[in-house]
Amino acid sequence: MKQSYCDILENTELTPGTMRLTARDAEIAASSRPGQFVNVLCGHCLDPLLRRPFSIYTVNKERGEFSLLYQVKGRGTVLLSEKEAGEKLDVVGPVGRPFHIDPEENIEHILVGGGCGIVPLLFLADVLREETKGKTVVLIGAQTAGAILCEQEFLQRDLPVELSTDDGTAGRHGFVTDALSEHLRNLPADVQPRIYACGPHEMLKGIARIAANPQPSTLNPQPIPCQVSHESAMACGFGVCMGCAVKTRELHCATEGCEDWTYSRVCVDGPVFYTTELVWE
Amino acid sequence: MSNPNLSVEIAGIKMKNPVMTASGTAGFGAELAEFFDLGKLGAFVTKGISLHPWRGNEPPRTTETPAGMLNAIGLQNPGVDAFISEKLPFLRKFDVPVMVNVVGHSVEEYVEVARKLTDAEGVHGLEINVSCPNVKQGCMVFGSSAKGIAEVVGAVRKATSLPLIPKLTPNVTDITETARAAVDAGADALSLINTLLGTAIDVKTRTFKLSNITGGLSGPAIKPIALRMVYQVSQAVKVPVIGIGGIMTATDAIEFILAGATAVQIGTASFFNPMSCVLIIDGIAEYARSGKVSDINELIGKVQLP
Repeated sequence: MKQSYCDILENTELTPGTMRLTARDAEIAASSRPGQFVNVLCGHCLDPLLRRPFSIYTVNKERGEFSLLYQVKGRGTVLLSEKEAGEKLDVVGPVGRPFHIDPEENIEHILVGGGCGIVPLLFLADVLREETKGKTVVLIGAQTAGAILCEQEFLQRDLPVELSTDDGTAGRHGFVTDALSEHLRNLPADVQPRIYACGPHEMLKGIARIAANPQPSTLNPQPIPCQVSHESAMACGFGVCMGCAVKTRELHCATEGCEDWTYSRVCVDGPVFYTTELVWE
Repeated sequence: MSNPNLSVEIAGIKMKNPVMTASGTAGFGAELAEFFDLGKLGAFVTKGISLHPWRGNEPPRTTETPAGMLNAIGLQNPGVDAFISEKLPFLRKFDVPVMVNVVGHSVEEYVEVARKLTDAEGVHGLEINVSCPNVKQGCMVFGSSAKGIAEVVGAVRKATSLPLIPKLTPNVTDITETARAAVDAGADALSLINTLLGTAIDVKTRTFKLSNITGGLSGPAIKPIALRMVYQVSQAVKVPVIGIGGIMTATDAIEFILAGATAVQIGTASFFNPMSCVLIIDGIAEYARSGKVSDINELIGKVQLP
């Protein structure tokens, strides 16, 4: 984690309202892991004051580059969208606990992304390919066809992609959690699934439920290791302010008399947590 | 011109420069130490420490406001015993005075925490937090009246020989009253201001943006108020004053010093840029050099009247 002024190489609108920003910083590119984020100063004066956290979307270590995929939604992202190639980007990063990766064989890595929650999973897919022998499948959920992100990027990497939309305009009509349940039901008995998810809270909650207790008919009835990347507004974004609190079990609960949950920091204790570590409300 | 002297002294604590971290914005040092050597600081002030662990408030705990932010963390901290055994050893590694911010629900809790910290190795001073607006019992309840602040400071004074620095709330009619009461009760210095009580509403959901409803406003938005209060208090008392409130740059810090502050604390600016403390220290040195100020102490309270 460090603060640096990166060179912006491109800041391009891919589809209306969705931008990709690529920046050069060899140290950040070399040290980033999937699930980590960078905390970006979007403005150029004291208002808006706080940085905005963005998941790392892709990394090219050879070229010392990393990219972010973001939607232009509020004051911070509007200001970010106005930055141009050649300008500097004030970044703190990489921040946070990344996805834990199990390199074993016979593992199927199931990536589940809802809406813009798919963004950190592309970097994850790239690293899974480099570091593991397991197979990777991608389940993407969105409200409607036009809101699906990253489908082409996964297909270009020859990864199987299954789409779900709430309104049925693309892929399966329904929630991505239903697609996950069905996928798990059809999994061969000798394959060990691992789930990695990012998206809206309700979706993550549903996935946590599935991972804890896959349906009785599934061939893998035992709980499935499942990691989720948790989203939160942040003030400091590097672990000092305790603003981005999330209820967790056991983590930092070493002192005697500590009850079964505590507030952990999304920014540095997360953003990735095992679903069993979180208190789901 | 050779390097100007930036060192200052507060209640017998020698600091190599007037820049300190503000409580609650630097944790217990481990995170900021990834960005710079904590030994560069004038002093390190910890997150508030209570007798027992405090969980803090339910999220959402922070929200951004124009040129500032509201927080209602609720003083989440591991408690004084865990602080001494798990957090303090790390801070001892650095060549920096450590001041521990002390919080409590009752006078007895403040006293007990102060006793334990007095016996611990590597604590140089206690900042008595009688000004946090985000807990329902204690803290600002004490700091809002001359009687309340005198009660806490007086009781802690009897329990410790460590320098005592009450941190004052701006949420009072006349801050010089609580300032005088704290000094009369035995304060060695004063730090001010803590955050201003505020709130924010989301018009889409028609709900408060903080689960606690109210929170403390910090950041550049509060700087003029903080500066005015530092000026008033430094005129009213004879002990050193530590200026806090929206300091983002060395220029801001110099304003506080001219208004009467012997040192300053950097809080929300560290969220804006984790390197802020170092940039401000360097900026103060540069100001002194270019203005031919050989000793920063020459500037304290030297603002000229119109």
